[in-house]
Amino acid sequence: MDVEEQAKKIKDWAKKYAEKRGIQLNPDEERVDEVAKGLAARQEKFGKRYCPCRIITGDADEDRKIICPCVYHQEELKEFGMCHCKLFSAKEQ
Amino acid sequence: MNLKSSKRYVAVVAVLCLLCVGMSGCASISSGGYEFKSGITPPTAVSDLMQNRTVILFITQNNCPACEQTRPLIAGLQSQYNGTNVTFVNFNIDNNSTSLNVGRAYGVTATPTTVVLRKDGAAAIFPGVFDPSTVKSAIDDARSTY
Repeated sequence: MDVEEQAKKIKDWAKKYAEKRGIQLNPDEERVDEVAKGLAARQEKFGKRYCPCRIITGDADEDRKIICPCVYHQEELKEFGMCHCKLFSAKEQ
Repeated sequence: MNLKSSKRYVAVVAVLCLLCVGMSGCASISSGGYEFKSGITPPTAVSDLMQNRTVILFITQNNCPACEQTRPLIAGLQSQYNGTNVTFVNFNIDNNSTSLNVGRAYGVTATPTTVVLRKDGAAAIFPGVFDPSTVKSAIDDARSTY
């Protein structure tokens, strides 16, 4: 599977995940595409969907925390309305 | 208060004062809401740039939307300091291990991260999308150390 195809698959997964969690994808589709591409590139290179805005340390336990959806996203959604990567955003009330 | 307890009180106050003095050498918090942390040895790739110049590190990765969002802010600051002794350097950690080492030296865990360096190597670190006026204050502070 090439990166473009993988990115599309990731975008579909992210949309479903967001719906299930009562959040949404960033309405800025260009940013979503960019993150999906970054996730796909990392999936291709490292075998895991590591967040493209976080640094891979090489420590498996630490790096597990930054596999999308990362352990920080819920806190960031609460605090900033968006995750650091800008893939997910909180639903407008 | 008897003599024994007053001596103890003086000793406790003295220890607290020493701790405060000691800690102020590690980090100085400015009124602008940022702090310069000392105790980080700049990697060679950075110290080589710091020859009488105020250095700003912009640490990024590929496919990082927050990095793209921050890029115009960096460009805006860069144009304000055009022709001065301020150098802006982009370290893209996807490009080489030097950039990754620079990021690690400053404890960077997410990108973008912007680092403003004083002459003594102390660093003001701004993770994520920053407020340009705050970073500008930090740059002006750093420039005043040269």
